[in-house]
Amino acid sequence: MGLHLYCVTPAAYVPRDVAGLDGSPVRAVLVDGLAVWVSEQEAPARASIEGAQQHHAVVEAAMQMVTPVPLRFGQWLADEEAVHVRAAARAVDWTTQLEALDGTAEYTVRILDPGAESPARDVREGAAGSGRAYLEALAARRAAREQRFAGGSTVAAAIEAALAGYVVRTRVDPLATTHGLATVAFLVRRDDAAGFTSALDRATAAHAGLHFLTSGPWPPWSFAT
Amino acid sequence: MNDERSHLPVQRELSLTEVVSHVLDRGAVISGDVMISVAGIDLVYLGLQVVLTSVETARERGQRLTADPYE
Amino acid sequence: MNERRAAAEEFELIAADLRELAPALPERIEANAEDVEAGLAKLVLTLIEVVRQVLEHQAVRRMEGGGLSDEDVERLGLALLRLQERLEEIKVAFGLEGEELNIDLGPLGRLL
Repeated sequence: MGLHLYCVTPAAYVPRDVAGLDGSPVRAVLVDGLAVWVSEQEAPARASIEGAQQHHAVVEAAMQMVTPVPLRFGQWLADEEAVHVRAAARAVDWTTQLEALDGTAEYTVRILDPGAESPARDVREGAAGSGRAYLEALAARRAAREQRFAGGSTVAAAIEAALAGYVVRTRVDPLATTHGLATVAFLVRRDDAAGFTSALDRATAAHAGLHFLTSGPWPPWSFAT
Repeated sequence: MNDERSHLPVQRELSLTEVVSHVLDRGAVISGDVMISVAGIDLVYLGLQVVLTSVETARERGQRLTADPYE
Repeated sequence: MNERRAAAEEFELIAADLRELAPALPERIEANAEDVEAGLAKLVLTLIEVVRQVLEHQAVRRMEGGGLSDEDVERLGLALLRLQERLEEIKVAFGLEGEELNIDLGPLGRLL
């Protein structure tokens, strides 16, 4: 019987009446001033929607008390001793992260261009049995994606500038869907939430023709390492 | 793709998408010995981890593979 | 009325993007749904898919780098095209047709 890992908090914050994967009770393993939130699982968890939601819910429970360092789904260790060893090796780093993340939350903005014409999903269609045509189609698709991301990055930078003062950190990633330009994660002080969301609405309204899917507040998934 | 999701209103679908993206693609990882369980079989790949980590890192760097002998 | 229809269409567009974004996950893991052979096949095929994508990327870079003859470009492209077609056939043979190849490797994240 091993341990599924959820997140890390300062040792003063431990789970109370929190249920994890398959309803297993969540508890804390204390290491070097940190609490590693775990629950008993026979084997490393396999990805499912239900499992993802249960894992996320535990991290949200931590978020009610303090901003945690979220751990990716699937972290599993054989026993508490292994948790001690691994956590001790990361203790300084995680302590530093917790201090930097204290009092913050993440907001996600997905930037889409409904008018974007995406390259064919199946590159083989345009190739018509020609090797060169296939490679050129691959190259074209990659170029189109890079161009999309360049455009998305520009918009993200403009929005970040408009939000100056509210944003602690920003992370921009490509969004490789049919209409996707970029995914932006903003780290915001929780106290600034109202001001941030108003400023975000104004900032995105300035980009007519683009669609913005915003969500939050979330635990700082994109800013945890 | 799970067919049930096609009937979710966009807001709920967005929320579910974000939850799944967060827990699978983000968050901190504990590197070290990797215990991969596939179909109930525990597989420990250390050499494979090095390979996979290199590929993953290369993908994150915009797919710029460093070891290209023809550059 | 037109505006509402346009908004609904746009929503459907966005929802389609969202569906593309998340992986094809089962609702929940059934305890007795283990199929060892398919599980291993999926792992092997996913690893091959990773290598295939790396090879395609390298091939494009070499073509764009200008160091390949026309004949080389054609042969390379055809080989990769055949590889992709062959992998699709193998997927079908293992009942993985249409399924998104991806493996959750815990600490390594998702492979693709």
